[in-house]
Formats: sequence, C-alpha cells, structure tokens
Amino acid sequence: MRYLELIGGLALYPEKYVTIIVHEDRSFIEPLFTVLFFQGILATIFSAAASSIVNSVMNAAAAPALAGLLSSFMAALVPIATALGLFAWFIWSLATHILAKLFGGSGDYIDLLKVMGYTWFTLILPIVMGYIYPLSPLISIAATGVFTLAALIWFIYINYHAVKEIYGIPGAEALLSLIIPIIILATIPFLPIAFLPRW
Amino acid sequence: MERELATGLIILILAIAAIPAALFISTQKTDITPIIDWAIPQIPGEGILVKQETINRSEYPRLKKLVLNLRGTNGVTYISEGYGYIARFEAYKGRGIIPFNLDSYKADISKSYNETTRTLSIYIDASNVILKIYIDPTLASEISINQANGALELSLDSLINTDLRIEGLNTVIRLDLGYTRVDDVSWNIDITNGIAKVNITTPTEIDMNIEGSVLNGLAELNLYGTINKYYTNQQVRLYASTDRSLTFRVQNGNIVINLSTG
Repeated sequence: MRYLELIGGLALYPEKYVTIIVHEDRSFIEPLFTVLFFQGILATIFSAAASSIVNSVMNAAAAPALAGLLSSFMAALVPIATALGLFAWFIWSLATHILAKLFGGSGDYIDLLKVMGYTWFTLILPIVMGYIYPLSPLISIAATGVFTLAALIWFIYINYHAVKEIYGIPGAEALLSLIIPIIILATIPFLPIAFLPRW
Repeated sequence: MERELATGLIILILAIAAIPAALFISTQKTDITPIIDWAIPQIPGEGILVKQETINRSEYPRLKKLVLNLRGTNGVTYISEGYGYIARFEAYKGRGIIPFNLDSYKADISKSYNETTRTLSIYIDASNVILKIYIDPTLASEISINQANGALELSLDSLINTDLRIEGLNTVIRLDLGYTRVDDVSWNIDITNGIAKVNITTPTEIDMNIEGSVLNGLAELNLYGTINKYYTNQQVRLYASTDRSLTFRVQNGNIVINLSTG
C-alpha cells in the first residue's frame, strides 16, 4: 500500500488502517519521515510568525539590529523544535508502551512507534491555520491553538485504536496509556513549584 | 482506495504549500500596534498637528494689527496680538496651571479682518495650548516665552507672513524658526532638576558656544551661535517645557538663546 493512501486512510478510517500498519510490517522510514516532515513544517510556520512579530515589535521600538538578531534566533528554533518532535515521538510511544504493558497488554513497541509516527500527520490542522496568518495574525494564533488541541485529540483517537489493536487491552486502559504520559509531561514544568521554599 | 489516496494527497499538498506560506509570513509586518502602542515614546515636538493656518501678507496689504485668540476647552483664552511690522504677540494663561487635554486634537480656526482698524483676528478654539509657530528668522528680532507669568511674547522685526501652526502635545512648547530646511540644525534643550542639557544636531558646520550656569536655583543657559553664511536659512528648533522660560534672539545671523528655569 502506498504511503499517501495510508495517511489518507488513517485520517478517514483510523481503525482499519491502524490494523493494516500493524500487520503489514511496514518500514520504519515512512513514520520517521512523517514526524520530521510535519513537525518541521509546523516549526517553520511558528518560527516565521514569531519572526514577523519580533520584527514588528523591535522595529517599532527602533531596534532593528535586535530584530535581526532575534529573527536569526527564531530561524534556529526550527531544527530544535523538529528535534523535540522527534524526541516526543519516542518518549510518548515508549511511555504508552510501558503503561499498556502495566495494564496487562502484550505488544511490540516498534509497532506502536510506527503508528504514532504516521499519526504525526494530524499536525496538518495547526499547519493549515498558518495560512490565514497574513490575513489576521490574532485569529490565526487563536485558531492555531484550537486546532492544535483538535490535532491532539485526533492523534489520541487514532492511537487509541492502535493501542487496542497492538496490546489487546480494553478501550479505557488504552486511552489511559495514551493520556497519562501527556498529563505527566504537562505537570513537569510545574514540578519546581513543589520544591519552592515556603514560609 | 481512491478516497484515501485523495485525502493523503490533499494532506501532503497542504503541508508542502505551507513552506512558501511560512516564507511569505516571515516577510510580513505583523500589525501589533495596539499591543506595543505604550512602548512608542512621545517625541518632544513631534505632536499631532492640529491645524495649520497661513497668514499671507499679500492678502492683507494694509494689515496693521494681528490678534490671535486661542481658546481651550477649559475656557482659558489666549490672546496674541501683532502690530504692523513690529509685531507683538501675547498669550495669557489665565488663572493657575493649564490642564492640557490631549483628547481633543481639533482646533477650529476662523479669521476676520476689519479694514477700518486694519486688524486681522484669528480665533482658534483648541483644547490644547501648545503652540508651534513658524517665523522667518531673518525677520524675528526677539521671541520669548515666559510661562512663569503665563505670557507668550513674540516681538518681530516684521509682520509674520509665514505659517502659524498650533500643535497639541503634552507638556512641550515647540518653537520652530526658519525656512524649509527642516532638521538641518536643531537644538534640543532639556532641563531636568535644574540642569540644562542641550543637544545640537547639525550636518553642517556651525560655530556654537554653549555657556550654562546654575545660580540661586535658576538654571541659565546661553548659546551663542553663528550660522555659516551659506546656511542662513537653516531651521532652529527649540523645545522647552511649559514651566520654563525661554528666550532667544536672532540678530544679523547670530543666534542668542537664553533659557532659564525656576
């Protein structure tokens, strides 16, 4: 099955195409490409928007030199953000795998890693919102936030079927296996607060 | 299968098309004015032009007296008068400190000329009291602003026949002398805590001596400058806060500026 059919199939009929991915024993290259491609494009759009805002602010504040410097910094964020996406892919799938195992499932980590990689195409939702940025930056930023959340839900929905298929665990456990890593990840930035000195 | 392929293709095309979109975005200027408006400093003297009025001498060949009525929304009236070729302007503040009102940027100007008295009266209804007056420096002999007693005085060798402008700005009085070569020469005088600082900007050669002193709580500053004879038409620009007095003279190409504050 061709790559594009697989991506389209995951978007339209996730349950069916998750099964195909798991049982076709597909190459690792395609999911890797999917993560790098979609993550890279999203990072590029974010960087461009941030660069545009920084330029406007700094030029308005009569600091064009600083604007140039910050724009370069924004451009450097593209590979960093892409690498972070790659890292998130590995970590999230690993954490989900561990939790699915704890819930009594039995499956292969690589299978989940592949499905999750393919599912990275859901980032197309916030990417598309970048198109309207030149027309209305504020609406675009707000819409990107909403669509990023929608992409996350879509991502979880597809991988919910993947976890069920790969590990053979009930739906509730499969959902928890996917969501718990996000909750933990979301709380990490707030952990230092717990260790702040109190009086 | 066709639906899946079409969907996959659309996703890929949308993603690829985002790359030139991102490049386009990076070249766009984001309109963030409402957000950073606070960060834009108010430049002294660069206030909003309320209205420009030109008094053309040729229109009033027999003009002897010029009366300027400037009325603020708070009811304070400023009256300036000019007599013949030796003009004298006076503006009275009325009682107390003038509350500046930046909410109104519009001035309603009307003129009436009385042939019998040869008097041109200009009525200006403005909420702000910042005056920006353009005077031919070769004609002006003395200009003084004395906010201590609330008077604005202009003594001229000749009747003003150039632009009279009124600007709204917070606490800065701006006087511009000169022709059209704006910004060729500028003096920016700032007094903080009794210390006068002068910034002189000129792209041309100009002989300038600055003398400053602080005596008995008064900061006095004298600038003696000789404008190069080739640049006699340059503009002299002065800024002073409303609670300071400022005088300067233009005599035979020499500019004498006296600034004091209490």
